[in-house]
Amino acid sequence: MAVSVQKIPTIPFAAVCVSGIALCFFPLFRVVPLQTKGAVATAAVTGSGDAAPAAFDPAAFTEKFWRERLTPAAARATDSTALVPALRRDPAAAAKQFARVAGVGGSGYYFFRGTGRVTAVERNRVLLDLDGVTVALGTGPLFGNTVRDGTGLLNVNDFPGLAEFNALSAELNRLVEAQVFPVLRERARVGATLAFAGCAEAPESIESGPLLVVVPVEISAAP
Amino acid sequence: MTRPASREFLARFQSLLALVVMAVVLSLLSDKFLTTDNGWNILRQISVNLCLSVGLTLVIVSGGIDLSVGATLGLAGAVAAGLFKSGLPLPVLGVRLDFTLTGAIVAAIVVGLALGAVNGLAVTALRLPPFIATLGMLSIGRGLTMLWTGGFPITDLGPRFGYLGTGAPLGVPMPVWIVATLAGWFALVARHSVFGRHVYAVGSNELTARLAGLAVARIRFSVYALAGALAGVAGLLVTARLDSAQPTAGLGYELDAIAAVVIGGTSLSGGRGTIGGTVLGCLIIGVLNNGLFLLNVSPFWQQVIKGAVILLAVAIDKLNASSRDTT
Repeated sequence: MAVSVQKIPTIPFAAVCVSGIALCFFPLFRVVPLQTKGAVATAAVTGSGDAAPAAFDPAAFTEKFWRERLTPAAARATDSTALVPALRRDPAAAAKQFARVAGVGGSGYYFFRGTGRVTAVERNRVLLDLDGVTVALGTGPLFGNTVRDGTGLLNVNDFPGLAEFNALSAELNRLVEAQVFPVLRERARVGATLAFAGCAEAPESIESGPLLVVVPVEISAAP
Repeated sequence: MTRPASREFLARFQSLLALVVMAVVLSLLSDKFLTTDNGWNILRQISVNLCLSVGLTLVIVSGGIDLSVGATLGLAGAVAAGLFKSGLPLPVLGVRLDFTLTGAIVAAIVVGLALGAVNGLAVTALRLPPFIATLGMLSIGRGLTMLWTGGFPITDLGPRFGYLGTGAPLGVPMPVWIVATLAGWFALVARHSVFGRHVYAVGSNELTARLAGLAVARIRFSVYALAGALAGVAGLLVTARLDSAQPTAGLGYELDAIAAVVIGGTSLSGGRGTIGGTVLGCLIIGVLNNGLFLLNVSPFWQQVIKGAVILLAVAIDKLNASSRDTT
């Protein structure tokens, strides 16, 4: 079969050759096994330096995070005796002092603990009298990223990707629903005193109704 | 100089004269304006706008408009940052593609090119009005950026990536090198290449261009694709400069780019305009922003003044066009 050399488009052919040679020296990407990513990310997030053997597992990570980081952090969370008076005085100033802002949504979150008396038990929440103001403790169902973003302990840039980061939110919500809500529902009796730690979205102004709607991460009997 | 000749001189060099007048006035009002550092500062600040405006000039000269360049910038920057930082997992194959700096650069350009190509297809194949097609792409681009980033900035890209935005080989900021090269290249293409002349022909009179045998659809498609690719480069520069890809990057940038193109003398009705004029338009906006900032003018007033300058530029353009039509 006769092939006409003249018909080969010289410039595109040369461009392809040059590009191919350039890519040998400046490759666009390297192919690496997937499991090393999870190991690196998990080590980075936990700060432990121990690499996980397999790809990132949000359920396993979340349970470890809950046990090793969230529970100790809850013990050190902002006390309601500092937060509530500041919020009543000036929500904007309180947000500046106590809130954490995550992402570009502009939502600030409080991670705080307090002790209050149960004033009402409703279908999806428990109302608490906390230092003279009413706050609501949610009892589910739970959606959103309040726990993930409210604690300030998790940084999106420490994770392999957004899918993994979003999966954490779902896992954290699942743990709250499985471990915290049942305890809250069991102990929520009008007149009872509850101690809690949790996350709440920072209000921009004081409206009627509960001052804060809290997603609890810890419920205990009042001392 | 006769009266028509002087009018033509003014019309031709109005942007340059405006820039010189502004520079003189600002140097009298602020001793910080006419300094070397501030000069580099202005050039660095306008480089992103110029990168967008060069592509937009070709689009507007061809008789179109592109409202999506800011959104394209945001998505291209975010994709480049995401791929560079986290790679692309392919769970089916059990591997991840770890993107190099070259890969991130190519990815940003490819994303821009792809969005521009979709704009081009919408305008040529679907025959949508460019305003509507690119308005739709603006929204799609913003949404895709939010989906890709989850609403969070992608930060800590490292010094190698940052060099694209903050490096200064031979004392000249890297963005200035990159954008000056691109602007020079596209100025040559617009003025001296067959493609460039075809773009002007299509913008001057599409029907005549079609009857003359030009592939109008292909030319219009190409200018949108090129504008997208340049928005991809701009996205890379913004991301490198900030060392992070912000989900809202590029918000409103299309307006500054259109303003620069119009102030630079490009006619919104197509067929007329130069890359050189657009460079002057960007410089005018940059000098205006810089000067108003140095004079401590409120940001709200800055917006009002910028808007007034754009209106003035369009009004002068219309006056010139009508005087050309009557002569």
